[in-house]
Amino acid sequence: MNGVWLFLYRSALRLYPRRFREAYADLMRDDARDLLDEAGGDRRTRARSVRRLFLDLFRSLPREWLRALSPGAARRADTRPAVASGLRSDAAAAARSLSRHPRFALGVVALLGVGIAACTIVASVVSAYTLRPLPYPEPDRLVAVSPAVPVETGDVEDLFELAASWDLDVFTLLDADAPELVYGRWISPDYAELFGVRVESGRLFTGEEYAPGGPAVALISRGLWLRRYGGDPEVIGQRLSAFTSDRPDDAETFTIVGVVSEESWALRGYADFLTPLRADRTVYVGRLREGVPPGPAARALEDRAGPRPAWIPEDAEVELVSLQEQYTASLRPVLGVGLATVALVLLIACGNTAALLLVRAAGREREFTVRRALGAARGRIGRQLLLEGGFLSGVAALLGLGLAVLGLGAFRGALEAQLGIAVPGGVESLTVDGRALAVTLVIAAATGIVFGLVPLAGLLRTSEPGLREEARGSTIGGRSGRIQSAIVAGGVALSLTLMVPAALAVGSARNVANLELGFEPTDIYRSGMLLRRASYPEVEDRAAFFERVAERVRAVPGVTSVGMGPVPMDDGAPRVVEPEPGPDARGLRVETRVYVHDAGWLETISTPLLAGRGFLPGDTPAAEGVALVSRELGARLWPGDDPVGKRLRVTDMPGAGGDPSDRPWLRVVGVVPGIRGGVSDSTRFAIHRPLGQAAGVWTNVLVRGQPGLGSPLEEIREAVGELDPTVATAETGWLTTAIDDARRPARFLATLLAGFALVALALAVLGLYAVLSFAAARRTREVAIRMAIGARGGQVARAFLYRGLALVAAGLLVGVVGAVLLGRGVETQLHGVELGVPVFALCAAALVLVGAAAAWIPARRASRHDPMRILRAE
Amino acid sequence: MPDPAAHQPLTPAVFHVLLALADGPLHGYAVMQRVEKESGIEMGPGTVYGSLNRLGELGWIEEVDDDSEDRRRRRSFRITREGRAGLEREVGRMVRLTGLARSRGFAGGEAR
Repeated sequence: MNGVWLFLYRSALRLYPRRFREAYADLMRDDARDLLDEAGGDRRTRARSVRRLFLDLFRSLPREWLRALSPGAARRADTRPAVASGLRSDAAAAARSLSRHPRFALGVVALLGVGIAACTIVASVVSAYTLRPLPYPEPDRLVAVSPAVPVETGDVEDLFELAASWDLDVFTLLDADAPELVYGRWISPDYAELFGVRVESGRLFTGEEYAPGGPAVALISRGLWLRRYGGDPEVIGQRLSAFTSDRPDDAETFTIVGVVSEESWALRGYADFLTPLRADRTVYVGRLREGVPPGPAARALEDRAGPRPAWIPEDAEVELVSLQEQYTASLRPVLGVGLATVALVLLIACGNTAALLLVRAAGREREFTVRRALGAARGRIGRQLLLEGGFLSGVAALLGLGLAVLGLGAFRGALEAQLGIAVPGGVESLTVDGRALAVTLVIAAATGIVFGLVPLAGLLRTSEPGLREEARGSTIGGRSGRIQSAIVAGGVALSLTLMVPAALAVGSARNVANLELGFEPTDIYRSGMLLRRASYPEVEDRAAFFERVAERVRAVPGVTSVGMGPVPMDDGAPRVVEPEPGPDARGLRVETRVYVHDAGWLETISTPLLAGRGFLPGDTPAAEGVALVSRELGARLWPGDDPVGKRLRVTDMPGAGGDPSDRPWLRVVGVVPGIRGGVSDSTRFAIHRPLGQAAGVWTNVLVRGQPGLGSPLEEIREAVGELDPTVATAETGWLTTAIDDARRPARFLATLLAGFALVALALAVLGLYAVLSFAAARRTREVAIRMAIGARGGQVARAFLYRGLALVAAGLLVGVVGAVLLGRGVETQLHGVELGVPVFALCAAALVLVGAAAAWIPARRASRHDPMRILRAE
Repeated sequence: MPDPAAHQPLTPAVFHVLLALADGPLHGYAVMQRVEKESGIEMGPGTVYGSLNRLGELGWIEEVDDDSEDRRRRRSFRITREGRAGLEREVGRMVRLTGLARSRGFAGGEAR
């Protein structure tokens, strides 16, 4: 903690005038360190030291600047009691001054506060995901083997202290009213130690239980223990019948040896059931031995690996990726965009705060001049300015912190859900991050203080109070004018930078919401079911079972149609198909989705058959293999030709080797519209295969009922249970809900970006308006003279308008660069939109319009003045 | 040579720093500690070095070579003859002021 304070203090030392800094900054830093060290671990003493250091900065900074800029004044200041006596009255004066302009004060506080809150929240999220180590023992030495080439744990003992392997699986639990499907894992001996898996009762597996032919034992999750056993403390030692569909063993009786504690984050709700893995120990994750560098270890591992399975490309280089990096890899683009966005918002907020402070300070020159003439010390005025700036930043910081704490507290669950990846260490650890907050606060405080001091510099340049001169007011220009212009142009630039990606994101969200799915999801209820392969070894058996389920559900009153097959909008693993080479063989291979379903499926999801025939009861393994193709795939494989009657075959997963020539040719018997296989599916390439020829152990029953029909889950369960009491139903629910879930990320990003872009736009307009209206007010006299010598109101107003538009134009030029950079970053997260001229034109036009309005209103006001009255008033 | 009279009255910070140095040379941190111990005023480094800087410019204090065994390079300061005179004048001014106040019946909380 001392380190942070010392860092802040050292940063602040840079703010002293150069000569003073060169002479004393090192000494001051050393003394500050001593002061903090002296406090030791005592929090109260430390707090006092910190207060002492920073109060001192506050007092001595303006004095040293005063001396540096105006030695005469400083000498007088020396002879005045100035250490602490006036502080309170100055603070009171600052508070009075701010309370006289509550709208200004509130505006600045709200601006900065929102900026600080947004920045703190996002930076905290980034820190929680990327900086905080994963909650495993020795997280720095954990690496994932990527791709996971086959290598046995015994072969890499010199590289890894621990090497874990596991198999994800779905278990059907019996021994209850209804079979239940749970996710589970087969885990290798090192798994528990490597991932820090602990039990809250019972024990972990013993070495003997990992040995081939060992006893069937299981660990269950706390959730399953509460759900299925009602938290019974006698659960240890009980037996549990469970099977997995793909292991040849029949139903096994597992002995429960322990209940996994909830702190075992590696499992976090994804694994209710653990059992020892006794074969196939390919290393997925290892803990590197101390001092073993990942690069050479990866090479060594590659050399010892066995032959690669077909799905790992031969030329893929094996890497040992830090587990943390692998965990957050998919998140990095989103986090990057989020961070860039809030940084821009904070930048705009600070910029506009600066503009407001400058405008206000310039407007108060007269006040200061009068006070100087009445004998006020410049130091007092400076201190009051500093106090005002500090006060505004301080309140804004409090507001920002409050908003950040509330915001994170209220939305961290939703945030985690949107990001789709669990926060390392649990969602409760997603709190305001001290480092993030410190950085944000320093930026905001510096804005308030530095720009609060700008008018002081102006004040010091005028050697003696020139009341008469100053009172006349001046034309805009000079240094403060240039700074204001730069801030306005910068604000416009940042607005464009944010608006373009935001417009893209909104467009993308609209695209996603209006996705033409290729099917009609309303009023469809679905339920998955999993068969035991041992009971249904052949395709016909499985297809027959599924058809019997369909028949029973079809008989339920209110049900209009029933189909067996996948959920249409599921991103299944793509397969590669190739057409039968014709006379002009091109060796074409196309990645497509494969849908396996029965005859009723197309009707249930309201997808019409465009050509040929649908699936028939005669499409059995004995008959010729048949397939439907999507219109899009047909056009790709046989351009300009009728796909019906052609042949194709599924070769394998993309990038795989192996010989596909033994795979059977399939006859295309029909064409259907392309179904969107997911939000990001733009190709709609798909083939459909009949359940009768390709049924797996898992499928869904899709039920379309009359509108208003309640959930048919009970009927489905009953039908399935009567046919086979070991078949569990799972993943049940309305199709529309599943589709909304798929669309949510796009909507989230769009809402986020659009919200920030609106804030940015509002801030930019506010800055533009403030500066221009201030300029108009300052130039009242000039306008009056011009009009007195014959300029018309319209001419004057136009002059102001042009000035405003020139600033907007300058900002737009710069903003294009930023918009391209940020736009590129978000483009990958978006669907069906591109970063092109139209979106730039649209955003630029919006900014020009708004900018013109912001310039026009003050311009009109300036030109309506009665010149004679103004000149007389002067 | 600035007119010494122009420097009256001294700011409390400058006064305390000067007073702390009256007994012998000290470095900045020691000045800070001494002022705190003797008068309870918690000065920060900025105030201490600001005051030392000013006093140095006036010629009231000067830097001395520090041959202490401290590992760190520290800079010590010593009060000069002008400094002593200035402090003397300031104390005199205070005494006169105090006398004036006492003559009006203010005893600063001491028994009347």
